[in-house]
Amino acid sequence: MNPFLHMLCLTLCSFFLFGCKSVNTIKPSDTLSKKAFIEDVRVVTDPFLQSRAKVLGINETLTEGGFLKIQVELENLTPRTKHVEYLFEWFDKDGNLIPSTTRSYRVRELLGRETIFLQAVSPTDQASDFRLKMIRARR
Amino acid sequence: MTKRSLTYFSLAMVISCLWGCASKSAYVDPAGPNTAVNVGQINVQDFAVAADTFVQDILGRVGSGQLTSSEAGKPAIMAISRITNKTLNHIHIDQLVKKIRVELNRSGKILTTTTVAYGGAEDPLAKEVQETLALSGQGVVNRLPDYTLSGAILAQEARKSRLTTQASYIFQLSLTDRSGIAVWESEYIVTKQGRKSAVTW
Repeated sequence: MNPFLHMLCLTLCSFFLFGCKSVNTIKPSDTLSKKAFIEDVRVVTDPFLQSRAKVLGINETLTEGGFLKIQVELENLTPRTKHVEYLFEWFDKDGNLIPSTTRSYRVRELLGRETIFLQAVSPTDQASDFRLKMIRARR
Repeated sequence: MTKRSLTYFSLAMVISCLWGCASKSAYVDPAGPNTAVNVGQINVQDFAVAADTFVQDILGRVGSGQLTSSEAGKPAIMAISRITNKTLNHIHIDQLVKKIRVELNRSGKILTTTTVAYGGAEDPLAKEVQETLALSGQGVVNRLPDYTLSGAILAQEARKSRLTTQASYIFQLSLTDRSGIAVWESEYIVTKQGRKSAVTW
């Protein structure tokens, strides 16, 4: 092998080994439970992100004021840091989109193998359904 | 590669460069992911996300006893107090406050008064109508605000490397009740990194 090519390969390998920050999550051991990825029609994402970040679960509750509160657990399946932009959209019982002046994509950073929670509260107590849109963040 | 093909290739490159330099303008969705991002200023999406964070936090606490209306069955009334811009940028505070007001109004839980505000009535004519009605005895009872909204926007700069600078904008808001106690407080930080030249302060 060409010595230059050899050095290049070594450098690239060292980048891969040391350049990634991954998170080791410590939690109670539960050998019976296994992670089951949830395929939810309310979560919309692109194929690129789908293979790198997975929705582990969705919690849906009502606040005391009657607002819908959503919590989505998201895991970075890769050992590298990923940035995700996401947006919650809210719908009333008839399926109509509830307009919002504060509607905007938000950015979240996921370190390698990290699990994060995306939370949102509906803008009115008329909201009965939601949609979560996730895209790869522009960098 | 022959000399001729090299010439064609060079020509194609020059044409593509020239073609790409043509300035193009286009509409973008202000709520979409294609808005411009500046390190040196607070962008429209930053205000939207900050307002959204505050509104969600407030609405999540409605009905919990922490945020209630003084008149049962009616929405609470909020007045806008002093919100200070402590950054060196020129910021229109209304870009943040109006979004919060609109969303709280649409929720039907908290309405904003335009006749009681820090520095005078926001709507002087409405205030005048109110005073005229009170003087003529047809009195519309001037409902005092249940809460006042106050806060500040701060900025902090840090250098990451020789070329990259980080700018953080800190939004701080409080809701104070009639007894003078801040019953809700929140903070939201926007942090952006970019080339040093992009920072204007």
